Amino acid sequence: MLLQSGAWEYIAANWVYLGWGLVFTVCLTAVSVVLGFLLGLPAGIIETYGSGYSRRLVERVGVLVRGTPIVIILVAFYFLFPLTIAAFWAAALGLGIRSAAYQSQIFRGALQSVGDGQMEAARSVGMSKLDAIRQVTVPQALRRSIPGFQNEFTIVLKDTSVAYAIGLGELLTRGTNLYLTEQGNTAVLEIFLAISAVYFVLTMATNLSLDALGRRFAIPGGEGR
Amino acid sequence: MSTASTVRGRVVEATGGGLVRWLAFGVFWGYLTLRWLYQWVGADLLGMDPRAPLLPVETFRSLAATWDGTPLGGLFSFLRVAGEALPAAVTGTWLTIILTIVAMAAGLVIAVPLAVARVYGGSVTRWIALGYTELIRGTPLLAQLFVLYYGLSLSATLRELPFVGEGFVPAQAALVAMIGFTINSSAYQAEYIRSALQSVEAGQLTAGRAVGLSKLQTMRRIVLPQGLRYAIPGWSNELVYLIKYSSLAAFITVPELYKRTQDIASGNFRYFELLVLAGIIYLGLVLSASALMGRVERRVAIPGLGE
Repeated sequence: MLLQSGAWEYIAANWVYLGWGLVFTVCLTAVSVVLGFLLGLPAGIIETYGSGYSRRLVERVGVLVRGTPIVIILVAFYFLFPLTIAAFWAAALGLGIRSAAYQSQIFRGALQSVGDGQMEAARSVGMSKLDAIRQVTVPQALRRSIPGFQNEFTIVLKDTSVAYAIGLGELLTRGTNLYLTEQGNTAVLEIFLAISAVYFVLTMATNLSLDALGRRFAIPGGEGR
Repeated sequence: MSTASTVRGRVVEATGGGLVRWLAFGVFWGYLTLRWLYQWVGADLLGMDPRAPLLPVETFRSLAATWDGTPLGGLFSFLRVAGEALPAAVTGTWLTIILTIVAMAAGLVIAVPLAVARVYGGSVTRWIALGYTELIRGTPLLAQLFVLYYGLSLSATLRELPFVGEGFVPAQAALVAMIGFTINSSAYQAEYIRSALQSVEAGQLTAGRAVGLSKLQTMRRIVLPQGLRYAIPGWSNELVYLIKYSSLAAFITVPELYKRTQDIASGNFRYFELLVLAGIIYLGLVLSASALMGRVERRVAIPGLGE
């Protein structure tokens, strides 16, 4: 199995096709992570400060989602809304909801690491519980959850490839489509190596940007970076 | 790349009351075990069909027809589809468990030297270990499986080896999946072990040396016993992760749990019911693994350490 130059030329000739796959992958990651944040942050707050019933409900749903393989979640969403939903949104919903289940744990851990004294201090200066959560504990917890969030972000990025199961045209699916042609048959290894390299660059870029974000919002002299 | 925390998924904490949980575990594992025993030896001894569902499938069918159009009818319809699919699903579950255990164990064998190289190695070994873990952790598992299976055509090579696919040795595609999962898991386990080793205080090493232990003895009797305890939460995660991601082996034709249920679905078009069935079995495996690792952690805990 040689790494033939012809194979690389074939990949280069199809750069537009693969480029669109990259766009899909990036958009799917972004939408899923944002959705995961919008659902995961309230879920984490409920798990930390919520009362019995609502907290148990959120915990149960979380266990259910975290205990199911992502491929089953994606395919289930795809079949739940037959023909009424594009594969992209099925994938975004599936990835987003699973990400929410994990992000809720990140935020719960971060909120619990903010000392109880912070809450007491906020209440003693006359803030309501909701105000205290919104203006005192959450801003501190968000800064502390950047490392965990970084991890979750890259997991979502890598797992967009599982959308291969529902035939969404993201990077990996397009790669497999490329090698199923007459010419691509001899370029299988090169195609998957090239695609893996793109994912690697994306993961690195994500990690470096989030590192920078963490430094940017670090509280001078504060702990919990 | 700084990865302050290297956890790739929090442990699924099993919730729910004690008795209900143990009953559920009992039914789940009881059925699986009985089914395996029946398929491997029992059916032969009894002169029965090893693929018989052993559940009142026909009763479910008639009940589903009776209650057709109501939620109860939907439930019985699910039970019928699930009952018919269970023989194949349970066979696939066995392969899922084997894939997971092999990848965990073989991954650990590779991970320990990697972690030691990262923590105590020279600059060259350190870089090699770092490069390996970052490359593996920076690319999707599915892409890794495709590189091995389609890119390198590993299965064609493995097919030539003796005993492959005979008796208890898995067929070539399953072996490729095992190799892929092992490589993948070793990189993540190396990260867990590395951070566990680093969380053992340097003072412990000094103290060990001060009371006259050799460097190796200190590693073996002081550092590792503490470090490995710190690594248990990471291993719980890894186990859960592997159980779930073993389903990706379906895309390189490995007949594990997900693949088996999907194959049945492509015949009878009951995709959703079969997804639910597979999901329930995965959830059972994941919760069992979490409960087991939780027990291990409590059993080996040293009061006051790591709290």
